[in-house]
Amino acid sequence: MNTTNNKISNFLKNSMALIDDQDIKRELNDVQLKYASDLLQKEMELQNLESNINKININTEKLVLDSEKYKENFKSVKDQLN
Amino acid sequence: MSIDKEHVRKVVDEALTKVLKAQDKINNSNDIIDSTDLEEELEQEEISNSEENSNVLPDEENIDVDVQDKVTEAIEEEVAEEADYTFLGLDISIAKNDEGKFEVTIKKDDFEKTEELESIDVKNILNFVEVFFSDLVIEEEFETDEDKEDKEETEEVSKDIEEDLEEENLDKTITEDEEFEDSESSGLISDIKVLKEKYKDNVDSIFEQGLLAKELVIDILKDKLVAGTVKDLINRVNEKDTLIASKREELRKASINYILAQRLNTKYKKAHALLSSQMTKIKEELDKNENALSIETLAKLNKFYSSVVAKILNSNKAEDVETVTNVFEKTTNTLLASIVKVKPTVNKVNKKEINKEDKSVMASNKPKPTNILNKGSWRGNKTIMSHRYEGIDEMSAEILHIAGID
Repeated sequence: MNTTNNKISNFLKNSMALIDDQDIKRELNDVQLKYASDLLQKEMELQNLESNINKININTEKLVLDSEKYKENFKSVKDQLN
Repeated sequence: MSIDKEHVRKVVDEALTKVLKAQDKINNSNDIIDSTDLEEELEQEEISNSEENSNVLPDEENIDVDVQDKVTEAIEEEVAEEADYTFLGLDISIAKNDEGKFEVTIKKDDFEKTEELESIDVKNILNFVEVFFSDLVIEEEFETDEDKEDKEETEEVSKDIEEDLEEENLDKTITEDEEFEDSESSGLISDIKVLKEKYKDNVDSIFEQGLLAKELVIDILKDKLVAGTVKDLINRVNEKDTLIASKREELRKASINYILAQRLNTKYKKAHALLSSQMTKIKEELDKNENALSIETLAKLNKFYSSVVAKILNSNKAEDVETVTNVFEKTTNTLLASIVKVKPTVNKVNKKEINKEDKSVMASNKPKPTNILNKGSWRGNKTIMSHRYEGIDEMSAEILHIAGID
């Protein structure tokens, strides 16, 4: 399946290279082109936001795990004191 | 069967000769020549030269038209006589119908095409031949595709052959690209024709695949990026804006969570470090002086530490941890100070004892200052002042005598 997916992926990539300005102008009118550009920018902004959220969440998770370790240490101290 | 070329050539030559003669007369004469006079003159010449010649209009504007008419007439005469011809391997049959038009039928093998032409001049015939070839190529390609499909269903092509074909296709594709670059100026259509002719076996499938791929990708992009109407486009943009707003809110919350987690982690770290260091200090101090704290105080201290740790464990806010840590720090510092207060009294006594011993040792070891005047003994004094001491002895003896001590 992976090989097939790779082939399809490569096929699409190579096909993307075939598209030039003339194709875009022929297929999209000015209004569509404007909105397509806007949508593409918004899509990229969304991707960027999601990427940042994921990074922050991963770092928060690391900090929480580290705090849990300290808590475990405190627990062991408390047990010793009791 | 073929057109009598000699007859056509003869007619064309005669017509051309007349035109050249008329032109020559017009060019070489100093007078203004009336076309009617020239016509009559030429007619007379023609009659005198040959009875077969037809009328020629030497009018300069009509020369080309007349020649063309002559040629067409000659061809039509020939066609009227001979209706079937062979040209470029094609069987061409021409028949005149009731409306005066010509029905031209071209046949090659099993493929046949008929078309009605207004006139059967060379240009029309050649155009029809070109159309016939185009249709024939399309027909053959269609049949070839069908054959291929049949073959694929019934036969399995070996892998070696497939690899060879792929390599061949690759080579041809590369050459094809080069050809494209070389012939940019001649236009896309001519390029495609040349390439089609050269690689007619494979090029169609390559082009079709490429074009299909392009269409597919463009369709995907269009589906992703655009919509049918402007309203749909605006709706899509609004949807994206809503999504972006929600993601920004999510990012803000994630950032706050991160900051809180970081602060809490920092406070835990600080509390842990403080607890460890202070407890170690207290332990060290207590090891030095076991009697510094009473058992009751130690029990209270133990309880205090336990409650501090419990509070740290129960609090999930950095501020709470910080408050507990500060209380712990202050208490521990006070405790350490009280332990250290006890310790100096012990140290002072020891220090005093040590000082006394040291002083006595030092005093015993310290050399006494010697008087250089009498360090040898009174009698050993050889200085100038030694005589003074002799007098002192005498005085001492007299005092003793007076006191009755002698």
